[in-house]
Amino acid sequence: MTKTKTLLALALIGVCATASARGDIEMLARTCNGCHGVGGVSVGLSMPSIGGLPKEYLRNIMKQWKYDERSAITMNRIVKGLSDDEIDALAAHFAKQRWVPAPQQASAALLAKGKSAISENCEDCHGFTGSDPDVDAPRINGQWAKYMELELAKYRDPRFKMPHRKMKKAAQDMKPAEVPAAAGYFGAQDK
Amino acid sequence: MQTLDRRNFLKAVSGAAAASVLTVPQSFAATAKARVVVVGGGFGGASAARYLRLLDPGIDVTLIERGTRYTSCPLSNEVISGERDIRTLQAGYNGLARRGVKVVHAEVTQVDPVNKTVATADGQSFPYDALVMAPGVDLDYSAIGGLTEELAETRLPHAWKAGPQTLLLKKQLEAMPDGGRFIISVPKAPFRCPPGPYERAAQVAMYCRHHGKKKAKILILDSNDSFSKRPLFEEAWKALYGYGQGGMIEWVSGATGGIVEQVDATAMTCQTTFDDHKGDIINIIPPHRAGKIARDLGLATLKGTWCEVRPESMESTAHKDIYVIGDSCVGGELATGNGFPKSAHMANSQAKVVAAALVARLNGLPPPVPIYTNTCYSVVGHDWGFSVVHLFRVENNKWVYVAKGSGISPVTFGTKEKPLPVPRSYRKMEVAYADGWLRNLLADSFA
Amino acid sequence: MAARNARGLFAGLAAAALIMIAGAAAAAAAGAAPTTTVPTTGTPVSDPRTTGAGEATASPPPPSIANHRCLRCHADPLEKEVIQPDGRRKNIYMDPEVFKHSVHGKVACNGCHSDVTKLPHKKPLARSIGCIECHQQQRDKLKDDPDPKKRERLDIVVQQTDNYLHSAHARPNPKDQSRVNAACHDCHDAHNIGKPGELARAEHRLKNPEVCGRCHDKQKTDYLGSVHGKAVVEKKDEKSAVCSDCHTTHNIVSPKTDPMQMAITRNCGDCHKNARKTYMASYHGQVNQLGYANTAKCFDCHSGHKMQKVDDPTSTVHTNNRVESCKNCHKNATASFLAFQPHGDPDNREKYPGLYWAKRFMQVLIFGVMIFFWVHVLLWLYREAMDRIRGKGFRENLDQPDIVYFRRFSPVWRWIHALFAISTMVLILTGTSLLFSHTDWAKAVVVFLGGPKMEGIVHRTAAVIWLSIFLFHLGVVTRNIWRARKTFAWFGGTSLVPGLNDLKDLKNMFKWFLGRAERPEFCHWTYWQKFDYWAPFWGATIIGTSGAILFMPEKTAAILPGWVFNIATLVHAEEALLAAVFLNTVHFFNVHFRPERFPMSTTIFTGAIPIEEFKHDHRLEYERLVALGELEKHLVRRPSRRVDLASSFLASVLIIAGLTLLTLVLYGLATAN
Repeated sequence: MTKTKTLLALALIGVCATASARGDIEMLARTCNGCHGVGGVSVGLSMPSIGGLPKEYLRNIMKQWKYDERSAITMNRIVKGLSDDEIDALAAHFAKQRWVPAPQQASAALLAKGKSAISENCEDCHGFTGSDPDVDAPRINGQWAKYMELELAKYRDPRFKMPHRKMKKAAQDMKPAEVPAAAGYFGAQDK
Repeated sequence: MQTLDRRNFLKAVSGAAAASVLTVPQSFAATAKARVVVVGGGFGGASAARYLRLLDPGIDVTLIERGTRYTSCPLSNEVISGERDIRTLQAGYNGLARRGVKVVHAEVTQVDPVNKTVATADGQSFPYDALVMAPGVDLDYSAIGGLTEELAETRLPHAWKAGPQTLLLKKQLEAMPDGGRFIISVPKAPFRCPPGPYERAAQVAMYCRHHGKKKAKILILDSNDSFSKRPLFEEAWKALYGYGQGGMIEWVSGATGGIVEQVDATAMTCQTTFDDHKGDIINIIPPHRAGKIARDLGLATLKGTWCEVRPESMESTAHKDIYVIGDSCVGGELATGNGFPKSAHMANSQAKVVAAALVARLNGLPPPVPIYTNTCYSVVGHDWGFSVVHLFRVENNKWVYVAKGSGISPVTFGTKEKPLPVPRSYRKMEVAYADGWLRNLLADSFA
Repeated sequence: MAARNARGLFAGLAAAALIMIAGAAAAAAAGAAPTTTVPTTGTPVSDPRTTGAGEATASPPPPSIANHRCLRCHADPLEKEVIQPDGRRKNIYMDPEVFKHSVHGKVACNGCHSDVTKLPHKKPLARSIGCIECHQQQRDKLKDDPDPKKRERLDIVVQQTDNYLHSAHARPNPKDQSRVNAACHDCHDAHNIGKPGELARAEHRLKNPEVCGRCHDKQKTDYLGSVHGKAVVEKKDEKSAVCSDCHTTHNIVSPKTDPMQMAITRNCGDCHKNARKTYMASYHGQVNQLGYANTAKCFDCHSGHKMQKVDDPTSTVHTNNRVESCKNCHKNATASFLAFQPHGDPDNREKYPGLYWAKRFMQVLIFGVMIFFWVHVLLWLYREAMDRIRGKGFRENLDQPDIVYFRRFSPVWRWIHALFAISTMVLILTGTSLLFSHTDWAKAVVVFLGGPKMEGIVHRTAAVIWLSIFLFHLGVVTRNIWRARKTFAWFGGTSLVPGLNDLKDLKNMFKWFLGRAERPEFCHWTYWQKFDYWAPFWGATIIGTSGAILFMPEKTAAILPGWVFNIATLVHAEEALLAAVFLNTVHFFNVHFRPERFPMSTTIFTGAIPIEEFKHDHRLEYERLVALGELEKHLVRRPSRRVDLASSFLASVLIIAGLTLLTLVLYGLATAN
């Protein structure tokens, strides 16, 4: 086979691969709905809403899971079956969705405790309500508190591989009682 | 921790609905109506109806389902142990109705694949352009001597279709004396919810441990020689309840006499090829096969038991315009033993494939490339759970099991060179994820 | 320039003499020379090592965001960079240890980064750091504080920011009008501003070439190869010059402008003190000190950024290259320019013996002459004052007003003296304004004249006139002698040629001063008049020759070695100074200010002297003429009132001008450093 032909074949494969990744991204994204809800709006307490989160964030965590740079319970197994292009496309797809907070009720005492906990440990990166327009971090206003509690537990546990050092440090700086309070606080935010 | 009250749940669900409208392609709305009938309102059928409406509101969708309220089999073992209220597993059909699905509560008696009509016991007839069959499984009571459907509903509940039998089994367990024996008979695979029997054993053991029945025994008589998530189950059983000789849970493989052939409801014994086992509770899960209506229609092309379908669309290999999804169908990479697991999530995933394929076909669009995923959680203790995920793609009109995107929860942690035990916190998180998963799966199918 | 070491004494003596004159003459014009107050001139030269932001001694604004929260991201050594939305990497790291020791160490992060009102903040953050405003506010807060030390540093900072605002750096960038050429933070790492004397200061100093070089790339390259640059970079020598040492720190303007060139020249001298001293004593430096950049400045000869030591063959002042450097201004410079000592120091005997001895000679001369004559003046003043108290000495008899005058000077001499006096004063004014270029009056004079070039033209024109008069006078004298060659008495009372008689007169005069004898009687010329006459012969030779050398440097250098310029500059100034001080003190006293004459004598303008006065001052001549019967020939009528008034007016003007010049010269001497 000549070089030209090889190149042509490679190019064709590339075109097909991209086309397929693009064309069926809706189909692929629908498989996520089972756990994360349609449009990435979760109704499960422990399952995060993902629609409207930053593309970079979604892309990064999926890649980190895929390449075992980040611990997860289930997602690390799931994303290993996806190509990098599919991950990019999925991230772009969910980033395009609207963020729908699910504000959860919390007692005034918990909110007060959460407010003090987050002002020390969370606010600087996530903003006062978790929806600051200037954040780099994903939005967490009205994110599921249970999910955030579980996520914080991973950050606090040194056996879990969590690559975001600052988040890890902030989480580890929290007192145990502050974890549910902070999660509850952000979970209660509607805006 | 906050609990999700009903108002919040509805809010979240309506949010999801609002978001989903955005995903409906505009052009579909303008097409001429096609009629799709869905038979069966389980996870598969409900999901199919829902996604058909989501993807093309111009399609006329009719869902025919016997019951008015569906109870999820996934996590229903937690009801037996009292860890979960059965109501948290239930969903009605109002959500689908709101989406424009015509929900008909009736018993399908006959399908005419030539004239393309579905007849129901109450005399209604539903013409269709495409038919989605999601009848679930039928249990073959005749396979075990001495077992009848009536017995199952009264004394020997299988509790393999969540509902009254689940509660019956729960009552029996509560009544079981300390030192009592709970026998679970597992049919030959494939059966619905492959890890279910073993999860049930764990849930029963947990109940016994925490309710003054520490001397109870759970005997699993298995028709198979191995089982789903086995290392995970064995680890959990060992750690939580004692497993094997002297432990609370004992598992007998098919090869070592686990195949139950006969049951005596009066003597409360079951007879295997090797031995007789007396139990205080005998929970016989009869062998499975495709739903009767599917078999009657000749869809069960695999040994007359399971319905074969086309990988790209889930269309029956036996009849055109009839699609079979859920536990009745058979698919996946059978040659390597990696068939589709008969799970709720799998049915939900298949339903999405059918919906997309049908919408494309009815709109004259090229068929989409399907992808099938499954996630299935097993909760074996109040702080111990694990899961399995599956990924199937379709290449050259064949299912391909993607091992890289599939697998069970880790058995060890750390590195290969320096393995560490999996943290308990990890196992505990899976319990929480299981709950979230079920809530979302119910919503993704019924809301 | 004049005798430096003894200048204080000299000035003191001069001042004392002046006061004395004023004492005798209540109408003495100019006020006492200010010998003690030394007003500072110009803007203070900033020490680059102490400039920068001030200590934030004032309490910082209430910190709405605690610093440790900012430091979570900005003090993370493992993630110093972030990726900006446009994809560029940006270093956001700040060493908290360094910051802690900075003068701003206790200031809240958002005290300066004031657009951070919440966390997380906008990204990228606008660079709206109000250094200037904040320092101003902090200083204003301390405005009324009784302890001025508290705002000492802030005052400097505010002064520097003010300087900065007028600098080239504060102007809009030509390529991007929305920003300035350089803002505070472009040069200052605000997180690392040390207090004076701290290590951070030294570090900031050594980093200066790198900081400036971020924009001034070519200059940085040149500088790094220079002797200064190598010392800074290779030896970490914090004493070696960095950019700001020469260019100043905050009031930087284009080095093409005169003020900046002046400042740079001055700044070189902050380290090279002796070089600046000797340079400023040279013509180059004098003009420079007047505020004009048209003579050679340090960098014109030594080059600026590429500066090397003189023994470095690449140096522009290396012997092989120096003439080329001279040629930048002196187009016809010759090899003899090499012998010129641009930094010649007349106090350095080892290195500059010629200059050294020339200066010693001039000093002896000046001191000798001045001490002798000032003693003479003081004693005379004393004696005449005493005599007058006792009713002795010459007094105008009002009962018999003067109607007969003795004709002492013919019109030609009167004209010659008037022109000579005027041109001398012009020469003193224009010459000393260069000599005392450090004074404000000199600068004002030069500005008034229209700059150093015009000043040179005026000075040289006056010099030509002066010399011409001198030569013309020689001609007249020769003609007169020739005409009277048969009877001309070369010696005796009527001759200007000094004789032993004059010594005797001098001796007797001192006797009289001391009260040991009567006042001696004189013939036609007194010995002090003879000195006044002959002194310009010496002066004309010295000042004229040296002046001509300096007048035509290139032509001189064609025949004479370069060091003659050093000698010429020295003796020209010293001799002129001697003349200026002598004329305006001793000559003025002898002729105008001694009590018998006070306030003035107009004889040199009217040409006539009242006969009674003549009789008193020149009794021997009077008697001689009477004996010869020739007195009648010399008698004239009283000058008309108009002539009298005109002469008085002219004399007054010249005396006042002379005293003014004397004041200026004494002031210049007293303030010279």
